[in-house]
Amino acid sequence: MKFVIFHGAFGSSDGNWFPELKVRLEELGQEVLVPQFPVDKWNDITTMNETKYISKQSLSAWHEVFKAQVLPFIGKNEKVIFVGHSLGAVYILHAVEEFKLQLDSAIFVSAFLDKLGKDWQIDKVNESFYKTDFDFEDLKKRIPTSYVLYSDNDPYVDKQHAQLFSRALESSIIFVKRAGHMNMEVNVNELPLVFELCSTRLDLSLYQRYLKHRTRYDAVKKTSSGEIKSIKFPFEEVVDEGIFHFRNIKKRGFATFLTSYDIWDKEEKYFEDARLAAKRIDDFKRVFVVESSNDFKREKLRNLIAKDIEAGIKVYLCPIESIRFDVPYLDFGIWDDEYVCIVTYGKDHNFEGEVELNSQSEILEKSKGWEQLILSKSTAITSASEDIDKFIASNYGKSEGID
Amino acid sequence: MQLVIFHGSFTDVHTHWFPGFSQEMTQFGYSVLLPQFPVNSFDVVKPPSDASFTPKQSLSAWMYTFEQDVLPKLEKDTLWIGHSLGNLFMLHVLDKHPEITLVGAIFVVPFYKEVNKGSPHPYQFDVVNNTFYRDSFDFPKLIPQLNFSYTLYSLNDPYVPNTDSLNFAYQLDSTVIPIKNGKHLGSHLEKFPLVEELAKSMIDYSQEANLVVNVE
Repeated sequence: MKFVIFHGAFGSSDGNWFPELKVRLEELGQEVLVPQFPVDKWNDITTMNETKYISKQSLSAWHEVFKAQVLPFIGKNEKVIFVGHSLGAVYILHAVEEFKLQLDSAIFVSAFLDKLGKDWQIDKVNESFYKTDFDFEDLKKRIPTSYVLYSDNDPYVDKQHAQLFSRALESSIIFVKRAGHMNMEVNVNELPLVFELCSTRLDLSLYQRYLKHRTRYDAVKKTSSGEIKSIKFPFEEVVDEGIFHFRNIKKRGFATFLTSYDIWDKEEKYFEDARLAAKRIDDFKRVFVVESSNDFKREKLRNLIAKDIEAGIKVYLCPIESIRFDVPYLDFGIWDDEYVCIVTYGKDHNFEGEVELNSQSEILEKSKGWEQLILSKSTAITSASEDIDKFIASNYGKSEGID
Repeated sequence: MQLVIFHGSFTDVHTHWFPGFSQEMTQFGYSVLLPQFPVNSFDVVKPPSDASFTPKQSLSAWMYTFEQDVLPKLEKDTLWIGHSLGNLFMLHVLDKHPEITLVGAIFVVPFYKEVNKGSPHPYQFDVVNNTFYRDSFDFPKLIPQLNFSYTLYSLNDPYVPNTDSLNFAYQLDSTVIPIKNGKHLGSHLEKFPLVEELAKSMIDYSQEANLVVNVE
């Protein structure tokens, strides 16, 4: 989706909540343009005579910027969402009409159509934009979904203006109690509600939905367009990620499990959710990477394997020696072929390690290579008793076998 | 400020986005009531022809729970959030208790009557929802009780057709918000930031965002 954010009179493309919204959308792989339109300075106009002052801000001047910057950005037949603040809202209607645009949707914050009647300076610079006789029937087709946000203590825009705007365009009206003009003057430097409304229009990938789901992470790799391709977070939050992907995967899952890491034994919910996912999707493989045949003396490990098999997870055993030098990360999962989750542990197999989620295509391809290699060295099993014993006997010999 | 969540059929309040949502909002300083109403497990529900089966879930059982567990704890400033059948139940409560007025309401995938009427759908839903179905409320009386409301619906909801949610919203003069790929906006979600933000906006945004409030 492409987004264009329109500032208002006396406004700036890096003011209010615009930069924050831009970054958050870009992190989810969306393209965002925030053009700067010609505006006036409050002091310039105030010190001049109202009739003599010639405003830099005018409908035609804004259309020039629109033609130069916005039209090339949005291209043809692209899905586009316009977000406008204050004067930016009514300007969006002018632009859609003038350039015969089709939008996916629009969000209008502190919107109005006609004269505000508060400060003469504002009405002076906005004069060429005020209009109530748009062809609203046509606009409704061009902007089929829209939101109008207004506040009850907006010092510039009375709520009747927002109501008129939303009625004319049949917008969904959203009331934000005591948020003023929803600008920097009242500290609205971020407006998560607008971001959430934008998100309702997006087809996010599994990876992007997880980014949105998390609130804390270190962004490790960003593309030049600002999209986050890789994040890291502390190991103790790995279960949160696991439960998320198990609830959401649609196509396939692949994961390894290191048999000596008994810190996982207590994470029953994690494994329970994995089994629910396996019932939903056909292709779910778990490879138990065996460090020592003694690991199978742990009752919990045998139980885990038995339950996985019963739930339809395709279970494999792989001796660690056969892959140790070819696969750089032994604990990883690939979810819906969208991202790889790599877990590194602290000393003593404890929870001081780190988790990395990576959606870069080259890393994904590499990790699929590790998957193939591991599977080629693995033995598929269908029982947690006989097959494991056979595996131990053939790989570790009778001497090391279990009692 | 208080938030009350009304879950839907077959639902344990410890599932869906309810715990995650409650946690977030509690951190913001709101009190959250998350009552568990009597529900059946999907697997035990018998077809309507089986007279021996009486579902635990019924309008009267839910009303009893509400009046016992929720009504005494209701605060003056209360905002209600419903999911699926919980929305319809909210209307029954407001209808029976005209003294209750809300700060606002958020309806998530609401409906009045049996969904997909006339086309095949699992009988289990109708068996447990039957006593709730009603579309003849006194709407002009309910609308001021709600004060301001939103209706969220999902463009790929497997259970509730969009037209049912839209009709619900239309009768109650509720602002509609369509959501792409939202499924039933239920069990697959662990959080629901849109509902969090809508709730904060209805309550008092200046407190949430540390706004400068003397703008007037």
